[in-house]
Amino acid sequence: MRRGITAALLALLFVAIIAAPCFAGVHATAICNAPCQAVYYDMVIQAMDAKWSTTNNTRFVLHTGWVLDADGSWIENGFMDGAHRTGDGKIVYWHGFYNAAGRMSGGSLIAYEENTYTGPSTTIGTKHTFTTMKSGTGEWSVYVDGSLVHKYYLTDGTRMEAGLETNDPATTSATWSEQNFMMFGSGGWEYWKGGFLNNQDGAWGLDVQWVTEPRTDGSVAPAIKTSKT
Amino acid sequence: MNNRWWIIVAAVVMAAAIAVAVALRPGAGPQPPSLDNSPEVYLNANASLTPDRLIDVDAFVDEDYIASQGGQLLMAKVMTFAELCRMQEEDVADHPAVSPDRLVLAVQVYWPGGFADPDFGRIENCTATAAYDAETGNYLGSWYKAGE
Repeated sequence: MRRGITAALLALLFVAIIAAPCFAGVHATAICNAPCQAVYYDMVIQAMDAKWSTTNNTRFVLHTGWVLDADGSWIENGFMDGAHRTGDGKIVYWHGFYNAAGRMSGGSLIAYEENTYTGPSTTIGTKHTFTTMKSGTGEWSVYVDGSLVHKYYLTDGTRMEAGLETNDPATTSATWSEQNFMMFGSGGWEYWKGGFLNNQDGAWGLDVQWVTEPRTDGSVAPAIKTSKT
Repeated sequence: MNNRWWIIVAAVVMAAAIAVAVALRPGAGPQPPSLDNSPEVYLNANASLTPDRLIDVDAFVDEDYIASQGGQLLMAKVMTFAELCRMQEEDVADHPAVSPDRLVLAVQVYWPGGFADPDFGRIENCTATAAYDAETGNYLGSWYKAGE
């Protein structure tokens, strides 16, 4: 009996690992599982600090929005502080807008692309909008402040996620509000009609709370507050 | 009830029906800002710059460091952004913030033991291409793909 339960738990763990997208950091986010052809959120830039240095050069902290398909492939569109490891192996520091996409196959990451984005103000207190929209078969367009930034490959959106990600307990973030979570589904643009919070590591000081929770009839604009001490 | 009351009740019912119809009409829900598919270019064309105005490729690309990390340098070349996109089998129009005639340094490396990144994790047997602005040296982005 005990062996059976252990085997079942190991099988569940295996399935969870296979199904999880290939993120290296920990998240404090809101998640909505629903088919979508576009996602939208906005946020106001606040302070955050990856505590990046030449001797601690892999740290990052970011606030972003993800759209994922059924196999865990994803597109992300947001704002970060900290490390990028470039294709030629350098570690570079970046503070600003970025977007990226990972493509999964059989549970493994087979391709990834990242781009920095310069243009909109990165000053604390400035508000920015982030839209990721299906623009063709397997093609999704990424927008910041309504301007097209890049296009990536993804099949169909089945999950949306927004909030904070980091990979080191030393990083910090003031309280940010990711807000006005919308999706474009069969009924056109609508606020999230459901969602749950996902705090993967409160011990690291991550925090995420609803400001306004999504209602089943979509009548309230969902918003969260995320921070890291 | 006299006629006047019936008229008031009918008016209230009609007003409520109109309000409901307006609320439920297509496109009546929340709307994000309008989208611009031809936005301003932030990295302008500079293909006419002479080499002395560009970063020193030999000094910028450290082949010994790449080898020490387990990589094999395949290419380090200044090219236009349009040429880089063709190399990556992408449409240059998919990067509207960068002029097709912006000069970039493309550095391509094969990582036979895999490439590990603090953000996305790991890609086994990876060929990666990094793009830097050839005028400023600023990092623009990278492509990482499984396979040689």
